[in-house]
Amino acid sequence: MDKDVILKAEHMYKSFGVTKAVVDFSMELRRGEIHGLIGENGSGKSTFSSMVAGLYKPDSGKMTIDGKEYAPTSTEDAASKRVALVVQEIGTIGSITVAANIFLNKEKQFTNFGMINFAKMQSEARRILDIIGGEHIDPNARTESLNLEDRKLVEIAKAMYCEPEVLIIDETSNALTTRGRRILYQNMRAVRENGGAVLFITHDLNELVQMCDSVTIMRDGVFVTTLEKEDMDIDRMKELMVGRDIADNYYRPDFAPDYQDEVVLKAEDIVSPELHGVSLELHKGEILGIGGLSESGMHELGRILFGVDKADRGTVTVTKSGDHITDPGKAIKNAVGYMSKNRDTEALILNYSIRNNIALPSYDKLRRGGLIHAKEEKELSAKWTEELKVKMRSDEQLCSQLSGGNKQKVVLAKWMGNDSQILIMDCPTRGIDIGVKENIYKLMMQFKREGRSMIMISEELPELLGMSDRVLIMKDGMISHEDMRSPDLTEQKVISHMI
Amino acid sequence: MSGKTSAPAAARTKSQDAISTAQKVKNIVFTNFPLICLIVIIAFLGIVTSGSLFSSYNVQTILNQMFLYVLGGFGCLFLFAQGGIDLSMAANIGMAAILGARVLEVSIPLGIAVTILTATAVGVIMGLIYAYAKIPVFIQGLGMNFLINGMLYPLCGGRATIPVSRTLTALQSSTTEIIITVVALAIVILAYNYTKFGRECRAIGAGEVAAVQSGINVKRVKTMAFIITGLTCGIVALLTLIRTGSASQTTGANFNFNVMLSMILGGAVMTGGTGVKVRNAIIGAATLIVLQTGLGLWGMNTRIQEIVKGVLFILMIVSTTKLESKIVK
Amino acid sequence: MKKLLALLLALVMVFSLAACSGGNDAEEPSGNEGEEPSGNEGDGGETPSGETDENGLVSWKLGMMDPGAWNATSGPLYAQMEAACEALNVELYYVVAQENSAEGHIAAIQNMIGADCDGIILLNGPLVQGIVQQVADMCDEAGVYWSLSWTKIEEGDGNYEACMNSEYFVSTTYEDDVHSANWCTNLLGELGCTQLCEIGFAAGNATGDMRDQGVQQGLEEYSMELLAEERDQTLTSTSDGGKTIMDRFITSYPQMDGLVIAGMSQFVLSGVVSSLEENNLQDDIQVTCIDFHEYQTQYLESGVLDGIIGGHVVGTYYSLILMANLMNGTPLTEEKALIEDNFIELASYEDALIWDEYGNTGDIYTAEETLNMMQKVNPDFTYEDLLAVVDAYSLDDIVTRAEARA
Repeated sequence: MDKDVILKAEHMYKSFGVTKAVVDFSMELRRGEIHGLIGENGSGKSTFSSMVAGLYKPDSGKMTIDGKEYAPTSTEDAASKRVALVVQEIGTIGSITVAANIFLNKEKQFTNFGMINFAKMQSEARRILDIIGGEHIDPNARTESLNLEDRKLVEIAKAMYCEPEVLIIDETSNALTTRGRRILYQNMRAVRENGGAVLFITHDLNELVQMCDSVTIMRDGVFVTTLEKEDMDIDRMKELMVGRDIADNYYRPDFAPDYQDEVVLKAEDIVSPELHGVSLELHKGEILGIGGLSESGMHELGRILFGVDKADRGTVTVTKSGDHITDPGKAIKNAVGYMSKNRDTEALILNYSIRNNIALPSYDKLRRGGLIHAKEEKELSAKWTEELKVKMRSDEQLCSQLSGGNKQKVVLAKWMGNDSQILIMDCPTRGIDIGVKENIYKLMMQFKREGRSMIMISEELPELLGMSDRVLIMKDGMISHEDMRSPDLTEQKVISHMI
Repeated sequence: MSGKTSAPAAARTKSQDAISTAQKVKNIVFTNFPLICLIVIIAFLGIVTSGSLFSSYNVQTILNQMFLYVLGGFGCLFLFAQGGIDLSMAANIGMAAILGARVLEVSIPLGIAVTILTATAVGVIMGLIYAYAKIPVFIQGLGMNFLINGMLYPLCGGRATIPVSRTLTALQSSTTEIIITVVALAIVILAYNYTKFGRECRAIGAGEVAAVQSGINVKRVKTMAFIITGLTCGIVALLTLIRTGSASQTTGANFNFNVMLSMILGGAVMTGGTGVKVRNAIIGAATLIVLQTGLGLWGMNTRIQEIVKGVLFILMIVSTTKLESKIVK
Repeated sequence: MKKLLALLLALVMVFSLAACSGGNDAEEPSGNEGEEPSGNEGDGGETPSGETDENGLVSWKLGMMDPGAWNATSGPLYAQMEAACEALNVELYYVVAQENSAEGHIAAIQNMIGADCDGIILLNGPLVQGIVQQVADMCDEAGVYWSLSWTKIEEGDGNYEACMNSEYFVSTTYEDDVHSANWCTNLLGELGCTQLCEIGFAAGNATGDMRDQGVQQGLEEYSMELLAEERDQTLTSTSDGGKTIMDRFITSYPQMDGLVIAGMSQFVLSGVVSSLEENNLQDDIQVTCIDFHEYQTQYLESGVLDGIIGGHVVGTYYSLILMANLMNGTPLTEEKALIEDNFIELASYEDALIWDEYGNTGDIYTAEETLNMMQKVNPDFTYEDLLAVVDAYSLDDIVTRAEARA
């Protein structure tokens, strides 16, 4: 009907086992537009985009490009029809060069009599990197020597090399700094200006409104609606994604710091390869936010505070007992809990039931005469899964079957079950959809009221400013700035201390 | 991560989410697959041997031959749960038996103590290496196995076999063996399922990093597991002395291999975690011994017995693993 | 569910396949199940009451350890046993020792008993593993007759007591191992050697001790000197090791002119031969060894080997004769028999050819001869006659009887 339509997907279905990831989903992508695709985690965005990019084969449904049937068998096949995808996860191979990654599976064009002409491949890589804005990347470098952002740029180069008419960006911007984002946006616009279309998947609704000409919303694998630019309203989109009203501002409502004077945890002059003399104090009932760039050392600080890693110098002291935290066991004895940012590998045992995960730090409390009291263990798990509203069939279900948000709730349940008074939370809402995020913020406020103290390490400034009583900004392994909670505290103000 | 495998759609409504009866039946079948295999094997061999598999002598023989493997399996459980394995068990049993037998010639109580303490000491050394040196556990086991094997001959003091006095061998009886097994079973069920240590072993196997961050002292737990394995070797060595009436360089030969095979046949997962259960040791040892005895009783050619066993083992292990992944809780 | 069915089906198929290839010779148990011996000795105890054959011999079941891979010593032994069992209406039942350990042997014997064997004939396994007493206990408890071979027991040792006190012990056969080693050493002396080296069993082996004694006697008799011995099992248990040992001897003792292999020859001999051939010393260093070897004929022909003693493959056969007579209610002797049998000595290529033709065949004793040793068939046959047969066993004896048949 519309000759501007480039990609048309009709009645797409895809299931993984019993999980229906995409159900009867149809949408259109027009030439010359950047089209957002949003939805909560597990709503099917990535599954759909993976089908378009040839990673998955749909169970049923039909796709057309310019009216011609389109059924890609692989990403290479998709690339030959000028459809490219930049994936959410790391999509490059670390052990080979940048050039080799860009031309992975396309080496044939550089081959003479079976030999790859590396010089030609390299110069071609140089050319494409320059075009996309990756002038600073050496095509000869081993990919793993690059930082995360530059690795993403290599992927963008790889995608742009096939001069895509349909470019899919799947939550890539999360990993990028402002500069990286600028480069990404510039490439997206380039595709649009050349008459192609961009399908842009993101969690950041501000970014979405800023970049997109229209947006499609998915929920539970189903198409909800498509909004044009003029109808794009953040609250409305949130509502559509979650399927119910979301409070306008889900952060804490007050604008003044509010904690007791009592210091519960103290770090003094912590020195490690990544940290150069960090000291801090956490007070009772305080949410202490720590922000900075990924490499600022804030994640390492979190690990040292809990005793997972050892500091070369300096001490972490729990004031009440006077104990120095040297290993996680000692931390837990002092009612300290830690939520690693690597939820699936460090905070949880995925191949373990919910109940087992929750009980893990609390065995000492569940023992009666040397033996673990199975009934109490069950009650502990029941109590906290209910309190935190973990969505599950039973607490014997494996954690690997839960969504990201629910996994995070299990991690919280684990530490609450042990009655942790101090929680060190590293990226507590990373990869979690809005509904559960709101939930977690509410719980944090509840813990605060109960007199517990929290350290929230986060790369997301809005939540950092929205939740913290006090904010520490880290840069190059040191604390570069400290600010108290106030209505005037803005992202712009703290960001300058980060870079 | 917009989860490709999570099922938020399904998780919303409980009714949609409930496990179907068919799945429940499947769960029961899949979790108990090794047991079902054992029952099928027993039934089949019982029929083709016209019931002679069930003669009182053969039942007793099967129980008698299972005995040490079951005990060994119990002892290795804690290490297995961590995804570890002790390849030095055979040599350790040999050394404990030889040293024990030599001291038994002088004093019985002292000999018993030496047998058990020697093996436990090896366990301590193995445990410390495992916890602190961080070399692959099977390399460590192989190394220790070579080391001890090299010492066996000099330890024998130039004798091919060292006999054990009749007072000790007279202790052997089916009743004692059954009592020991029942007591060991009770201890292991409690220790493995209901102690902090037992839980920690499984947690390390399922996810060591997460276990560390839950406050588990991994080094201590790993060392302890090896000490228990060592202690088990000592007990097995002592019981072997009582059963065979002598110690030699071949005492305990292949023991760790057979225990490992038993555990796997019984449904244990090599990587550890919750896939390792107490019942694995019993079901697996029964499968192994019933097959060995039953195929022979049936009159099958000894060469073909080996082939059949090999094929069956592979089939059973592959299908156990496959089915395990299809259990939905 | 379908996959599960398929799997069960596969299991059934594996069994059926196995049944087709292996199970068809599984005969019905001989019908004496559950029969406990009265324990009232004097007339040889209870005997099987199974079907009798055309010679009037009852059928019974004999358990033996599975021979494993063929070798020059066990091959002819089992061939002779299989032939004799067939003639005597005996079902031969093999069991594998899963482990070469005391436990493994005990389990194997338990499995023989569990399979309703009426008698068991073992080689030197119980001796080597130190479980003679355990075997005696198991067999007495189950009422199963048993015999040993390659096992010398002497008054005063524990094994002797175990056998003599066992109600169901029938016999043991053994060879004179002082003699075998002495023969090898003397042969080297005859050949003019003066400087010898020896490869032998690791110390602590009863057989090895006797052989060492034999070597020592020979050394004294011919005033020869023993330069060196090698007993390290890591070397003597492979043919590669054999080559290493010989290479070392040659380098360290250039004056060496004779080698006696008093043990482990089945492993080391081919390595020793290849070392000699590489160094072109096959005429300068004489070699004799104990236990027959797969390539002995070839080695004797080329002259690299100068003499070999072995052929002790009929001990189990004599035990079988004793046991079969017992089973048929006509025991040859009321005593527990301790029988020393003979070696075969091959001192030349011609001797080896004769052994190949008449000895290495499985019918050193033919079915007819075997039947004639049964009192049921030949009432005149006595224990003394059997001892005469044992005593006569030699290369000449084998040839004479074979030629008489032809």
